[in-house]
Amino acid sequence: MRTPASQTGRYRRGVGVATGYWLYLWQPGSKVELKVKDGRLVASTAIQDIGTGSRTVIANTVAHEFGLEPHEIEVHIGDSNLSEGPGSGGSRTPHRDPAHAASDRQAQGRDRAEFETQAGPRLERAVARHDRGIARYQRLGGTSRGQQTMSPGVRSPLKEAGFMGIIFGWMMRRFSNMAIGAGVPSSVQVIEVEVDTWLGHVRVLNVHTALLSERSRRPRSPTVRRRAR
Amino acid sequence: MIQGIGYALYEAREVDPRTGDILTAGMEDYRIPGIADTPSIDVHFDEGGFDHVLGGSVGIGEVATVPTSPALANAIRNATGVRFTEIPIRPTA
Repeated sequence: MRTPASQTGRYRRGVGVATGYWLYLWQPGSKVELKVKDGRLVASTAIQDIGTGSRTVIANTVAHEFGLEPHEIEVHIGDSNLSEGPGSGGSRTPHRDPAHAASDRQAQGRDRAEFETQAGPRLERAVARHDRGIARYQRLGGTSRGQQTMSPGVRSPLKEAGFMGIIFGWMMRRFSNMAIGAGVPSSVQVIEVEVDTWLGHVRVLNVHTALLSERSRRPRSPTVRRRAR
Repeated sequence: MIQGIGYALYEAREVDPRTGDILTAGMEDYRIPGIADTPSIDVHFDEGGFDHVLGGSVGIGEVATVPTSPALANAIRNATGVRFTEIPIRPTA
């Protein structure tokens, strides 16, 4: 790419790059309750769907873990009487993978027995294949100190805000059960533009972007390409 | 990505300084990118997740839009030698 000094015409091209960073919020007390009712596996959590596919995500992840089809999972959400769920707002809804969740091991034995007495043969086999067994509650967030060490990207940005940051963080945790963690740069974009130096118009020609994302249920990692012109 | 372009080049809440009325209150007046403003886009997902977050969860909503403005400003700087530090970057800026 030519430098600004080497371009003298009306239309000049340039390339820029930048990375993106965003903090993350999590709710360590969030849970998905799994139980068997009338021979069906029921997943319940008090999240509210705001059009982001909460039911689908929960059904897909639970079905995947138990080797079932998503339509075999009955999802109950949108009721505050259910077990505590994460909030729905901004760009966050439950996208956590229960397979990675820390199970309540004390509850496992009791709930597995309860499960097996209520489940039909197919569900029972599905549970038997699931090497983690079944827990009444699958935590959606970790609470151990080990998970909250000060390695890069972990230290909350509120810690940098002094006393008020600490107070705000405490209030968020106390009243909303929400922890604020730092992110790490997780996106990068390379953009090519053409600038009309007479009129000042900027035309974006090409964008190449990479995003760090969570492991997907898709068969393989895709590259999405869009050609507008 | 396209939203980020709008944020960087077009979107602005214009307010009448005398009355405080919002002048860009509707979609006719609030400029956002159209299909003609949309570039060729390549997106690659690196499904590594976050090692330090239980389950590797990553939000990709905001962080997909955040770098667009600085990358565009850097590209304009590379093309013209002019450094813009405020958005939207418009001909009148």
